[in-house]
Parts: sequence; C-alpha cells; structure tokens
Amino acid sequence: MPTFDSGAYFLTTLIPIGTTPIADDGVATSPVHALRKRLSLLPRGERSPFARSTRNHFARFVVIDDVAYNGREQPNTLLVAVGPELSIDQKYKDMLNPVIAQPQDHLSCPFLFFASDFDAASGADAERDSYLRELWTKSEAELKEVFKYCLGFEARVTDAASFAKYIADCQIETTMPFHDYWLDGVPADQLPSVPLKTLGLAFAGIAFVVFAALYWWLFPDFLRGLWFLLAIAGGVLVGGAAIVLYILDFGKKPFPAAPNSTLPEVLKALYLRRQFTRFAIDRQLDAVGEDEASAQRLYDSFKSFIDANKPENVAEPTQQAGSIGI
Amino acid sequence: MSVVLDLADIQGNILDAYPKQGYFKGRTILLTIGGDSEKARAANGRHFVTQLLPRVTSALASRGSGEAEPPAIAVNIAFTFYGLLMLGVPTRPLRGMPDEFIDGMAKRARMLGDDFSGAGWQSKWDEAWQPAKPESAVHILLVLNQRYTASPADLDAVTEQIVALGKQYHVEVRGGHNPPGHANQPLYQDLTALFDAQGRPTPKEHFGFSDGISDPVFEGQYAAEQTQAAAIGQGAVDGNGNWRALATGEFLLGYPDEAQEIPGSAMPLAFSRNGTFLAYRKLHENVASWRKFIDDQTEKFAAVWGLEIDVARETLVAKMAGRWSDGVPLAKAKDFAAWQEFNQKYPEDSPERERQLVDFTYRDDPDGGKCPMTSHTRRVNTRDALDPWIAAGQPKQAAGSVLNNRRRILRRGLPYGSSGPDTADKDEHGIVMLVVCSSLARQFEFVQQQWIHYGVDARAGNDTCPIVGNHSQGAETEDEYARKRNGPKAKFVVPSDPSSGKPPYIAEGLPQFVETRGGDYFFVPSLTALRMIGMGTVDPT
Repeated sequence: MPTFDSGAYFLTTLIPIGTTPIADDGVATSPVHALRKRLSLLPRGERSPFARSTRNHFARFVVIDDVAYNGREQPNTLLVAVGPELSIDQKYKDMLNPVIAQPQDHLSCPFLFFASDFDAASGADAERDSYLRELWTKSEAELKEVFKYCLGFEARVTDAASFAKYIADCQIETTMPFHDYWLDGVPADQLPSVPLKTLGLAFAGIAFVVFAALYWWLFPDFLRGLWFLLAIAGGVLVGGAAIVLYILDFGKKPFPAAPNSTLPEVLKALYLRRQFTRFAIDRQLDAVGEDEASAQRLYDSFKSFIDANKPENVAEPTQQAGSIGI
Repeated sequence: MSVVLDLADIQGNILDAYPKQGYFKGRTILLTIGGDSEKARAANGRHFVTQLLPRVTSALASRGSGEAEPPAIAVNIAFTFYGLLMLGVPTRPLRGMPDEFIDGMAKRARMLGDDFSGAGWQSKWDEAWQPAKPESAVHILLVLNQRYTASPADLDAVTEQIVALGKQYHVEVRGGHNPPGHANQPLYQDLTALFDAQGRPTPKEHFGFSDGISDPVFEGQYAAEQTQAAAIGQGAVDGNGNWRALATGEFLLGYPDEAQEIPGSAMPLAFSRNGTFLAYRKLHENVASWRKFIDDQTEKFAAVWGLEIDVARETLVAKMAGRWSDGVPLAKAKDFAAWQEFNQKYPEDSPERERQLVDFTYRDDPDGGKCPMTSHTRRVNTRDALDPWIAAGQPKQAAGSVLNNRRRILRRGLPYGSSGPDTADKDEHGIVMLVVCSSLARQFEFVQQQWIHYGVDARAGNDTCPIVGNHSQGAETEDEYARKRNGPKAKFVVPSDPSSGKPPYIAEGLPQFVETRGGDYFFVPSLTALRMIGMGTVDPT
C-alpha cells in the first residue's frame, strides 16, 4: 500500500472542477480560469496555509486541463510487414489509412490534482481524516478560496468533517511515493520481515513437483504420464501463483519510519544545525585550546548552548514550519 | 576518423588561449553601429565587417601557418544579439539563437548573482555597460591581442586603423571603462598579464594565484596524435581513470557534443558552424580586502590547526583555491610539506610539471580532506567528484566525470590594471574573463549559478565559492534589497583530515572579493559566417 510508507501518508486526489461559467470579481469566466488565479496568489513559505500543520511535509496543487494527445495510434509493424490485407478488422485497416482521422480521448472536465504527504503512524483512514480536519480548522478561508471551484464542494462541504469526506471521496491510490529521510538506506534488520516459512514451502512444493516429473520421465508410462503432466502443470501454477502473491504482498508492506523524520523533528534538526554552526564558529579557538581556562570556557558555553536550544525538546525552540532555506 | 577542424574558418583565441601563444597584452573595443535608418545601419555595419574581415585572425593564423609568423596584433570580432539585428541578419537565424544570448548578460543578473550589490547593481557597472536602447547599445566586441614581438605603439596603430575604418561607416566606439562618475573614462579596456620583477610575463592574477591551468581539451583542437596526451587531466575521465578529449560540440557549434548529438543552432548551418558563444565579464578584484582578510584569518587558522604563521597563510589560501599559489593541486599535495616535496620533484622548468599540475581526480578524496569540495577549482571543474556511483558506494559502475563533461568552459582573457603593495579596493584591477562555450546557459551559467553560488553539490549548504562567489555581509548589509536577498554572513569551512585529529576551521565574514563591472553575451562567428553577414547573404532565399 504505497499510500502509506516510511511513516508518511501520501495523499493523492483528483477533484473535478466545475465547467459552468461563473463571475469572478464581476467578470464572467470559467471556474478553472479563476482557480488558476487563486492558486497563483496562494501565500508561500511561512505564510502558506499548509505551514500551519505540523504534520505536512509537502503539498502540491496542479490543474489538469485535459489529457495530452499522444499522436496517432500506430499499427503493429509485424502485421504491416505480413500484409495489411490479411486483417479482417476494419478499425485496424482504418488505422493504416492516414486520411481517416482517429478518435481522440479527452476529459469531460478539468481536474484539480491535490497531493500532500504528512506524518502518520499506520496509514489508517482515520489518520488521513484527522490531517484533513486539522487543515480545515487552521486554514478554512484559504482552502475555500481554492476548492470552491470544484464540483459539489459548496453543496457538500460545511465543516471539517465534511471537508475530510469530500477529499477522501476524490482520493486515488498513490503508486509511487517519494520519501527522502532514509538517508543511508533502510538497514536490513528493519526491512519488512520475510515470512521464510511461506517462501520455503512454496519452493519445497516446486522442488517436489520437479523431482516427481524427473522420476516419471525416467520411468515412462504413457497414460499415467499424461495425468501426471496435468498434475504437474497444476502444481507449478499454484506454486508460481503463491510466489507472485507473496511478492506482491511483500511489496505492499510499508517501510518503517526513518528515525527522527516527523516534521517537528526535521524542523528541530534544521534549527539545531544552524545554531550549532554558530556555536562552532564562535568557539573554535576554545575547542583547540589545551589549557584549563579554554576547556572551562568551552564547557560553559556548550552548557549555555544546550540550555538555550534544548535539543531534547522537539517543540521549542525550533524552526518555523514552511520556512525554507536561509 | 576523429574530427578535423578547418582552422582557417575558426577565429583565434578559441582553440588556443592567446596568452599561451605569446600574446601577453590586449585591448577590447566596444562598438555601436550608427545610421539614420534600419537600412542605413545594416549597410554601415556590413561594410565595416566586410572590410575588417581580412584582418580577423583565424586559429590557423594565430598558430603561424607555414612560414608565416602569427600576427603581431591579433584581431577578433563578436556580436551581441542587437548587433546581429542591426546588421540585418534575417529573422530565421535570429530566432534560432538561444534565449540567454537574446536576453544578454544584464537580464540574467539575478541568476548569475550579478545583482548582489543591491537594487542599483547595474549603476555600479562601467559607463560603457550602462543600460542603453537597442540602437545605441554595444553591438560589436573587438578583441585585440598584442604578441610579445609587438610594441604598445603597434597596438595603438591597429586600434587607430580600425577605429578610423569604423568612423567611415558610423560604427562608433562606445567608451567608458570605469563606473559612472569616475574622472577617467578610457575609450578602450586595456588588458595585461602580470609581469614579474624581471619583466617576464606570469600566469598570475591580482590575488596572487597562477590562473588558467585547467583548460578543457576537445577533439579537433590539436592534431589527432597529440590529442590523447593533451586530454590527460584536461578532458573527460571515465570511472577507471582513463582520459579522453571532450566532444567538439561543447565548444564549437555544428559538431556532436557530449550528449552524442549535434545540438540545434541558428540556421543555416553555415552561419553557426565553427562559431561559438562568448561571455565577456569584467571582474573587479578587491585586492586590498583580500589581503586584509587573509592576514586576519591566518592568525586564527594558525591557532586552530597549530601551524606556523607562514604555513597557515599558504595553507588557508590553498584551501580556498584548491591549488597552492603556484598552481600545484591540493589533490596532489595535501599539506605544506607535500607541496614543497612536489616542487622539488617537479621544479618549474621540468618537463613533467605541466602534466602533474592537471593529471588528478578526486576519487580518493570524497570528503575534501585534501582539497575542500567548496574550494574554487573543485567547484568550477568538478572532474569526477560528483560521480553518482561512487557516492552510492558502487565503485564498479563508476562513471567518472560524466556530470562535469557538459559544464566545461574555455577561459580566455587577461587581467587588467595593477595592484602594488599599497593598492586600495577602488583601484582599477581585475580580470576581463572571456568565457567561451557552445551553450552559455548549459555551461557558463550553470557553473556560475549552481557551482559558484550554491553549495548543494559541494555539500556545503548555502556557502558560495570562497573566492569568486558572492559573500553576504549578513545583517550588516546596508542595501535593503541585498540584505533580503543575500542571507547570513558568508563563511568558508576548511574540512580537516579526520586522521589529523584537528577540527575543521570555519572562516566567517568573507568580504566581497570579486565584483562584476560589466559585460555581455556575444556570438563569435566563423570566418564564413562573418563573410555572409558582411555580404548580407545569411539567408540566400
């Protein structure tokens, strides 16, 4: 379930945008046109509505106007080489005729893509809903300005709970999450555990089938052999399916959360790094001093550093969410 | 079959750096094409180009062909976008020009970091480079170089002839090579290598470094049998340490480049082929600030690393540059003692020295214990330092300099001014850097923005290049625009070799050592293209 991985929930939603013309500041326009303008005016950095959540690592809005036309569908070159006249399929014959225009796929309305990743413990729906409710509670005004152009939003969304429901209804599966906090890769002992028993059994089953096949091959008996071939085929099928299912199951198991990778911890780490750089610059002469006095000064200043910056206290002092760079 | 270039079609100072061919002095002249109408301007410009053409020095001439000596005064010419427009170059080649060339350098200031000094950054540029309408802006750049056989009088004589030729066709000199308000506004920008006490030319610049050692080697630049030897340390290196010459297309238009394709260029091909682009950057050096900063920091650095003052000074300067002041790479001589040893083994006049100065990689120095990743030379020519497979711990797949091969530039140009012992920051001295490459955006601008002004690839956060990077003064910055833009006080970290037991040294409060004083982007046409421009036959349809 890649919607949840490494201690983060990867929310992906596609929300249909209305197509009925609206008035925007007294000017008749389309909802998607007005939405683009709102999105471009959305405050960024520390003033971003998403910076008010202390779970939100990343959020993105994209307007999808339509699917891109990828050119004419091309025929199977092998069949073309054999000779198009062999085909009895009229659609296929039309495909070879450049004069006949091919149908194109289009969306019936534009969509707002909204993706966000935030801290979560298990990936349960309740965690998603609590994130969305918090977002609504802290940034209702800004969210309304964006989502009001989406179909059904104004009719359905009245409070935090209905906002969470509305977004959840538009959720699609995230198939490729991106998470960057396992800096040196996941240690082997923290990878999702492999139920060796299942794997072993599947292999044992296959080995037995192969062994039996060899046995019957060496001592042929035509009739018994025919039945046995069918049995083998069934055995291989089941064994193979077991492995495939197992691999898929394994792939769906989320990685564990990386250490200290929740947003508050990341912010605290960034804060501490900056403060410690300051400390290191100011105290580098004491650090190399070999006399008692400089050692004492270093000790005292480090104590003040710890007292002032409280490395154990994740909540404060810390870097404000949404603040980027310097 | 490797690339064989027609040297007679390529302008000088591209394949070879003039200073290495014995041209130790030079002069740049900026010209504006005048005329009462669009048509008149185009005609004036074309006459000038056509008549100047026989004087333009090709790569063939500058190498001395047959019995003929290289010219005493080399003459080369390049155009801004508006120059080409004034010359009546048709729309088709004009719209085929790259965005950054059409923009010109001033428009790219924010990305290049040239707006660092504040909202009025361009008012600090030289008079000649102040904003102007397209008709009166810089259209033509002439670069004159004076060979050691010639005298300043020869340079003046050629200047006078060309200026007189221009006057006939209303092609006027745009002078003023000092910031506005300066009493002295020279008509031309004079350039000169720095000479030692005995009057011999040196490769030094005003901070005291030997400059111009690294210089990309590409296919066709030298005769086929010399190319491989020349490519060692200067071309591209694979994951096993094997060097090869870079693709010609990185430096000349119309040839396959490091992406193994001929990149798009202005059509018709004959207009672009054998041409290239040039960034003219007048870089002022704050020599007094540099000397004072090094003095101040040396004492602290000596204390932190437990070094003698003289050793500390040389070491600190070397750590900032990535090379010792005489050019010996830190990658080959990591400390003062090793530097002395290197110089004993390869003295100044030994045949091996030249190669030893360039033949190295960063493979065995991933953390910069020897040569800091943030040092100037390691930033601007990363060699194999960014090899993604080495970083991923998979040395068998090592890809060498693959992330560096598309970011190389040819550095041509010379220092200007002088910097005696009592010099002040405001005195005229610095380098007129002529950056030559086939894509200013992909090569020059990338290096300037990503490697000089960002620290990410050097794993150094916001730290910029300690020498040529912009150095914020933090909260002390007076200009409000600059204060908001520039961030906290600049610093430079000298990483230590963990086995030495010494802590890293952090130098904080770097002043601005280098300031841009003007410049622009130019197209350097081939001799064929110059003829086509002059004849007005770029698009024969």
